[in-house]
Amino acid sequence: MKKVFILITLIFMGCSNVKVAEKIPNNNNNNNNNNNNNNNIEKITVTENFNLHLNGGNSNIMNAYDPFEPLNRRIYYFNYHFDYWVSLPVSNSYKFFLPQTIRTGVGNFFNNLYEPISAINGVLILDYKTVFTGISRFFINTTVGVVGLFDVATLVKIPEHKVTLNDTLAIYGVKDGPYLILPFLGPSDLRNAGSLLTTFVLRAPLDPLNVYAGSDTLWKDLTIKGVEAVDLRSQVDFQYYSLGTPFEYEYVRLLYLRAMEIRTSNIKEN
Amino acid sequence: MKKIILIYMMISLWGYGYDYPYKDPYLATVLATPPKYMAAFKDTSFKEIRLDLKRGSAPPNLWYLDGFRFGLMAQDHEAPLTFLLAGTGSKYNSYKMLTMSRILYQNGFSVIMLPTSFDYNFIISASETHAPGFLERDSNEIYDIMELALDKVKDKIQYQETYITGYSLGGTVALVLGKIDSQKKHFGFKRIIAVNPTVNLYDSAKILDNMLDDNIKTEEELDQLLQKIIVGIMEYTQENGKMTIDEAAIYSLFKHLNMNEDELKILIGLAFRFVSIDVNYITDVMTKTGAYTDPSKKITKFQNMSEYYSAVNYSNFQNYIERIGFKTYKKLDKTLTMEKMIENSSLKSVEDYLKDAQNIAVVTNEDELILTPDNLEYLKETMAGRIKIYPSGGHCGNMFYKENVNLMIRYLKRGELK
Repeated sequence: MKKVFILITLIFMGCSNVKVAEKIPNNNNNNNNNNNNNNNIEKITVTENFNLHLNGGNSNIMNAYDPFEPLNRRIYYFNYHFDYWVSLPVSNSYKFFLPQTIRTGVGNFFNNLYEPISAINGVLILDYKTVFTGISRFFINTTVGVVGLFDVATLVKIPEHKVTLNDTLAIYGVKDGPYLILPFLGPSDLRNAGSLLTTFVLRAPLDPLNVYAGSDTLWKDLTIKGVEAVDLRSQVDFQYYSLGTPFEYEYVRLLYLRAMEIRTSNIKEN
Repeated sequence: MKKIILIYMMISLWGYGYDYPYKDPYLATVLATPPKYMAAFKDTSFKEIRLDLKRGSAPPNLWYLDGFRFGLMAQDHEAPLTFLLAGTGSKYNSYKMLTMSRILYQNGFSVIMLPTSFDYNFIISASETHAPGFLERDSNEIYDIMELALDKVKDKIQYQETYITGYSLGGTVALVLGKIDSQKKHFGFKRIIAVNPTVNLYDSAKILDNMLDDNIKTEEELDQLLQKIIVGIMEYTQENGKMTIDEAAIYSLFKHLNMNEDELKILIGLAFRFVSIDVNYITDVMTKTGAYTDPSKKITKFQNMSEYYSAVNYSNFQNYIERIGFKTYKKLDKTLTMEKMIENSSLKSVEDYLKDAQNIAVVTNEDELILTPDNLEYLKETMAGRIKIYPSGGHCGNMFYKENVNLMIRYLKRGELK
């Protein structure tokens, strides 16, 4: 049972599109008891998909636009080895030597660096709430929260509302393209990979704290990104091929695509 | 009237004092025991040990399942040794196995952690037929492996007495191993305790198969359930920040998802079906039966698996027995019938031993999901006086609950079942 949840969490941690508040009315899956204490929490709904069959016919839930599958499988295999020999030992040492409080601070710091990017995406999609949340969270956490180490904004009821370039492109109708396994990073798709790259290229102009200095100091910037990656990896309780099932690649792909589908359709309707 | 009152009082008294929190067997099975009610244990680490059994190697696409592996959690001084046997499809180091080992270690045992016959690593590397399901044959293979495993770790442990503990299918196998050892006498187990064992493999598998088949008919429904869980996690993370997967988080998530009984059944059935799908595929490839795969086709390391997923098409455990298991055994014994096979995969095949042996015990629940009423009745009659039945807990939901653990340890150490 736990495997299913671990897998799903992987999807959320492994890509940049995590934790965007997605709003759609008429969600009957909710018990709504959380709405009283936090009006910022918005509802998420499932997407409709009626081209699948169980038992009566051939299964096609695993159908996916994955033209690079042979390559993807090899990168998946490469990622396993990279994870095994590099990421996991580093991430385990990180967890061993630094207490949870410090690791939370590191996570908060990088999340805070993303707030201006969310705000700019808010401008691009003309969503004033995202803009407001991004700016106010960045302002509060940078000042009161000591350069973002403490997430004070959440305490004063301004929860994170992360919007990525990938979300923006989805809203403007850009298709997600083929499914990709990115080296080191894991499941993604063409649009998402392009968004990640663009955000990285524009890291210096999008960073008011001047943590990144741009193309002149590429290695320094990559090191900082590396720390972020170590922090992210330390939060993911998943290892490649650990499920034991022969269909792990397919399950991971299914969950990634479903999660993205839900996200995109919710964002579009928002 | 008096009789009714008396019966009512007996039932109330019997249930009294057992405070395991989930009274619903489906919820209990899914959520198990909340951390604050669990027996204490430390995060002890274990050693993974490989055995080269030379019984088969994995096809290229399943390279990560090659080589038989088991675990050892050894005390650094002389201590009783217990073999711990996993449930269906569980790896030797699954969450339940690791927790149970740590609990046993905490209580002074050295532990050898072994998978049972439906573990994929076992099917590929340890099973001679590569088609599990024949209880007696499987148990004999496990018995041989236990001997080899013990030989391999002999210099790492000091012990005088050996025990067996197992849960679910591992519990059933533990009892059959007791019978085998009573004849072969290699280990001389001091005591054996079976936690939530199944009585008949097929009865239990059928119940679990039906939990999915009776409640879901199309892949759309499955997809909707999957999406409901994804949505639940999205909302959960939105409200609570990042989600770390621990028991408490899963519990809150379920509270949030607010699943009804049918959905819980689907979830339990689905967890079992994932195992069945894998077993169907792996055994088909290993036995070259050709039920879902073409035995003449070369398998590559980076094999596209979608077509096989589609070919297996949610085949359940019963499909596996009909299409692969039975065919494989039939080759070994021409006189074998399905009835005989089902009979041989029941604890009834070791009934005489179960009735006589004084060093065995069974722990189960009145609302155990994988037992039919007849199965439960059979256990009560056969194990009379050596069985403890808790009023609630579903399937393995309460096995780490403090009271259950205390009883298990008391039994292993002193033979007391009260």
